[in-house]
Amino acid sequence: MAQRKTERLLSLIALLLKRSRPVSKAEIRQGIPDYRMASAATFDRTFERDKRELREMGIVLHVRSVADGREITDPREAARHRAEEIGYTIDRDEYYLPQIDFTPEEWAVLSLAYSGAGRQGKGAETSGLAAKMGCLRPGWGGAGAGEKALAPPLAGLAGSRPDAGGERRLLGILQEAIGRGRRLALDYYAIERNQRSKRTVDPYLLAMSSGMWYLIGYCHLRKAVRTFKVSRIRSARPSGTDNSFAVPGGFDGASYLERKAWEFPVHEPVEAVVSVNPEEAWLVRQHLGGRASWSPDGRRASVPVSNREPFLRWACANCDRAKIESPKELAGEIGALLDKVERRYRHG
Amino acid sequence: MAKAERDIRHLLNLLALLNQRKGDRIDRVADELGVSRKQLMADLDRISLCGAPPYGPNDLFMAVVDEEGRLDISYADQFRAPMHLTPQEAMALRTAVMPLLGRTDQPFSRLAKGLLDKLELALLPQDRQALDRLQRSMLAEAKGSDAAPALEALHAARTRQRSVEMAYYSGSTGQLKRRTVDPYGFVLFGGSWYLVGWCHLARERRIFKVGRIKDISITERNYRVPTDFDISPYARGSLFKPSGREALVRVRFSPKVARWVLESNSQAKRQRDGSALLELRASGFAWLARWVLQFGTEAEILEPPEARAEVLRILTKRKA
Repeated sequence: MAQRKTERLLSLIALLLKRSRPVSKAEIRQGIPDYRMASAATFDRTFERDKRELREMGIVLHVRSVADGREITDPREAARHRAEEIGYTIDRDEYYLPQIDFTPEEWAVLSLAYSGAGRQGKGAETSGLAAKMGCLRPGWGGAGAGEKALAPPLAGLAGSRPDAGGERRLLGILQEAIGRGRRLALDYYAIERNQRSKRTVDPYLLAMSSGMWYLIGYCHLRKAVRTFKVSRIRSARPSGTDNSFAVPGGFDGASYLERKAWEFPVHEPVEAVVSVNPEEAWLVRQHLGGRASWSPDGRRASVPVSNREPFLRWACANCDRAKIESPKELAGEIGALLDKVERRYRHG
Repeated sequence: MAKAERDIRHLLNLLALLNQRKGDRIDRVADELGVSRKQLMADLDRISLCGAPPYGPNDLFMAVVDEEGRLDISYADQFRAPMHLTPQEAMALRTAVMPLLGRTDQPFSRLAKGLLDKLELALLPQDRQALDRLQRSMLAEAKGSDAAPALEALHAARTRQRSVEMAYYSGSTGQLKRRTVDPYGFVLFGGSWYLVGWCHLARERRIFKVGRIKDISITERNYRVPTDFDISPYARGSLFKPSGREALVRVRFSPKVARWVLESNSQAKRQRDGSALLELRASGFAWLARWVLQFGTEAEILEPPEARAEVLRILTKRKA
């Protein structure tokens, strides 16, 4: 069945693309065996479905008058015409991939992107992008000698994660849901609680940070905007209709992306004051990010902390570069913890 | 996507590529598509069963391979170019170059933006809007946006083939040193930028994390990237290729923190008591000591003694 349908649709495209003038419905029926052998009612039904499928594939099919080539957009008008009078065209300008002049550097980026986007896929989808891009430039995507000579000094677009293929499938589902404004049913692994739970989420934004993908959206379980690590999403499926929610006007995706882990709203915010070893202040500045405020001499930083745990971890890892001055109890806690670590390494 | 649709797309793409590759060897084309020769042969047979009505002698596609393995296709001129890109395909490519984009202006983000603008031309005007909506739903941030000025200088130096002089903070020794480096290539790994180049101080090829460059200037000294240099292996597997001088490092993580370590480190193994044991090879331990220190008492470096000494060095220095 599928094989016959493929041949039928391919014949239809081949015919319409070959002719520049409209091909009448009568000629189409006469020309394609499946249509010719069908009853009038079956032909009408099959032909309607085939046209719809071509359009869904992105092929623009015009309905035109055979006599003068005028486009007929009103279906009621089309229905009034006889099969000899009504015709179809595929305009070449709307079908062909235009020639795009990419620079060698852009080609190399595309080839990297493609190796991330396509290679892990299977069969037809894999070769789809390769073939399309290959038509724009010979040797693209393959291991051809020309490729290497042109390659700019750039590598490593894909993440280093081993399950990148599975994640890519998920990203497709999430992307589509965001584009259509569809609510999602997620099976999400919350690593802090070490348990999986079902979440209903209105997806707002996909964000990549430090090489990892995150979904930012409104969580109906927590009743707040939450960030979900895509690699911890076990499954996702659309659960609502298109446009089943609206992204609030005040939503600022960038601010979620720039946040340091210690800025997540977990408890009441406190200001942590840090004094910094001047030789390494430039490194500490990178770590603390844009929301830290610095003294004029560049030796003290004030950091808003509303999630203690990650800040504590940073302070431990950088204890020789940055000293916590206040709050005193936080400084005391870190000091005691590091003393304990030091005893362990010194004595055993 | 339904099977018939996938099938049609595949044949349309293949017909266009065959038109472009007349006279090429079938093995090369199969390789380009990432399919086997056998699979491609089967597709050629299928194509030869198709054509345009009324299926006269000039209407039936003829895809053949000659005795020398060269491809030819006739009577399929209407498929001389493939179909325009679909929003899904454009989006897949865009998603793949996302890491390059970042949110700060740097040479590679400009490159990626220019590329994406051109890709839009391959879409139908009516599809551009759909893509635009999808695009606005995605953001990327590369780690250490402060690395942008250094990346800018390195890219300029590499383009002009001039050495750079930089103050670099080594992650393995924990020391800041001035080095003269010939930039060969760049790698984006785990959201951070790395430079591969010839280090005149170490007299060998080295990898530098761009975010650890404290200051940088382009010198007057010219160099040449070796003709056999290929950046692509750095993108496969681990960025750091072992030299054989590395020591075995073992780190134990308590059950309380084990799952975070297991999630992101394939070299970590879960132990029977719920803890995790990480084994890897490393030659400098400064970065490792800091990474382990963040876990406080929940993690401990078991060996080598040099790495334990590094932890103590940091802990002692904090009191200075």
